[in-house]
Amino acid sequence: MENIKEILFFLFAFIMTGSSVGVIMHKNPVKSALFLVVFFVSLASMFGLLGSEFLAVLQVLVYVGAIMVLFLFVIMLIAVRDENFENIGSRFGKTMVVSLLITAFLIQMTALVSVHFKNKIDTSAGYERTIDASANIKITGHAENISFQLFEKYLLPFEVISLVLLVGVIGAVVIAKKNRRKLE
Amino acid sequence: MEWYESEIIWVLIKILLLFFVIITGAGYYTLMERKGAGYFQLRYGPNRAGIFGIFQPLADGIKFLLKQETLPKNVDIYLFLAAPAISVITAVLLWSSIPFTPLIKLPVEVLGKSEVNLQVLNPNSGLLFLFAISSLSVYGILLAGWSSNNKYSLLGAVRSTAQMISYELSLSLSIIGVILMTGHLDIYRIVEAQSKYGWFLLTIPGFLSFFIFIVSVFAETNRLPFDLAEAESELIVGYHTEYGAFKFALFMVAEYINLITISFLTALLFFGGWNVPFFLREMLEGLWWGPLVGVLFFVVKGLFFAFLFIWVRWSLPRFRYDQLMNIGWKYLLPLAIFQIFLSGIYLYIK
Amino acid sequence: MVTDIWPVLIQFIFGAGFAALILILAHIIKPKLKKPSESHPETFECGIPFSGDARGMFNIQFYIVAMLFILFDIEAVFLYPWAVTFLKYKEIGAAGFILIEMFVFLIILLIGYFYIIKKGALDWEDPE
Repeated sequence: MENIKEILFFLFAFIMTGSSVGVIMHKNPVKSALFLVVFFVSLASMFGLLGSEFLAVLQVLVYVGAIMVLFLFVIMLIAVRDENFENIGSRFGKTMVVSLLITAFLIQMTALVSVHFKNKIDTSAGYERTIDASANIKITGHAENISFQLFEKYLLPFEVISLVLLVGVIGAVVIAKKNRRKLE
Repeated sequence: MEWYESEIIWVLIKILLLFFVIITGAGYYTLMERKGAGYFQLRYGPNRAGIFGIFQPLADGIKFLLKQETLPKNVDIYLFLAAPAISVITAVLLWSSIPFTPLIKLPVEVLGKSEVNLQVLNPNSGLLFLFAISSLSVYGILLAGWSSNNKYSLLGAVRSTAQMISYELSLSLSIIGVILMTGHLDIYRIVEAQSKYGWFLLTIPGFLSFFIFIVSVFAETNRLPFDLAEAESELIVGYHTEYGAFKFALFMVAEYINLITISFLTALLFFGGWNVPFFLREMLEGLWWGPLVGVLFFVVKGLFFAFLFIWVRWSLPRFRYDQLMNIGWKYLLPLAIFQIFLSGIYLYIK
Repeated sequence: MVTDIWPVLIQFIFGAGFAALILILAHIIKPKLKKPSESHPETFECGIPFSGDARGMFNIQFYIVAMLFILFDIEAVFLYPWAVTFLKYKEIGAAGFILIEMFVFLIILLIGYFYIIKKGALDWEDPE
């Protein structure tokens, strides 16, 4: 079972790194945004793998279901065309960007693999602990855990969040409406 | 433990069973819709393929498979093909957390289990899981519209997305009342709680949340009177204008699967699910097939809501787009927030 | 009873497999035309030739709706943990406290909501 978990972890890690390279490399902005969606979904799966479903579900609900829809809307709204790399830099620059990214990707993968083997050799205490912690959260139920924290320990930040949201609401309306009047 | 006693075998059995039942169900739902439309309009509806048109869904499927495959010129080919697939995948994922039966104690142990229920996965936060998946279904529509590069498709897709996200708000707020009364996000426990308190529909905040829920659901699934996404009179058919043959059929299958899932979800959340009336409860006590009678009640309730979608579709005209957005933002949203206040105070006093 | 989320992966594989199977099957057994019509793959535009590009500018109202949706969605997310624990707080006699806490949260947001209504940010007016 633990073996499957590890395989899945590397699978999602691979999808995440791959899709984040896709976000910056793809010519078409809509597809870049879609790569970001893939990234968020696999990040949520990663949370699920760690036994934290509530967080995983919220990740999908807020980031993929709300924020990315706005991103796509904006990209479609202002009719962004395909990004032309030739305009930004020379062909040399483009090659540099690609190779740098691939190097970064490889470094990350090797780092991941080395961590993996380290754990294989000595079943270090840290690795065991993470599994235990996730098991504990599972038993107590997340939404409740988060709620008890939220309404007792972090009461003030919670109420401040509503103010932050209020500012967001007002800001969105002011910006959108102001531009409107100028156009008219 | 033998290899066949692991959880995964049971999960596979459940998935395959539900796949068969629901895909067939979606096929027959289309027949029910067309038959219903026929009788509402005083005509017969499909009646050539078998008696009562019983083989009509099969005939439709074969017809879709034999149609010419069209890939329009200006489309973005990968997204064009991915969009119907995304619609189907989200529809399929949506039913996975719906409990279709209560726990049934089997008379003998089968594959290492003595009690089972027909639910593929049961996350602790089941309701939130449902909303998360249904918020993903926006992408199928949005991508279909964008990749087609057709004015009608894109307009339909953008309209439909704005509509779906607006009503998702009141949908997710309307559930708060139910969660308050049970203290669980787990659908199974919400149904169990109703055996103690009675149907949630019959409580004051429960009725209000049901009203908001059912209106939002009609908008979420793009059904009349809110089917602005495919307003035939102005947008041809909206986001799937460019789709033909089985790619179009995939969108239809996804839509009907979603309708089935939501009909059953409504029965679970507000109408007691598989709880039987009190006079039957004592009679069925201790019988191993007792829960199956409850399932019968549940299926009847679910089918009623499935019929309700057809009933409303052929009874009400379509709203205008600004009216639709006004209903969502100016009436349903304040009502949903009022419902939260009301249920909070109701539970405080009770 | 299954109490884990991992079967969602299997369900996903089944769903994706179903969609892929259908698409491939439809591709294989489609009728082969000797001479497909030339105008068949044209983009549909009610019979007249397709002109320009569909991906143009859109009404800014769609953007406002998406933006406001995010903000209210986050509000809804905070309501879920509150709703789950309300009965537990009631058992220990803190129901009034937790109720007022949430009411303050909601009322602050309602101020924002009335601001939106008053500014007419949700009115779908004619862009002309």
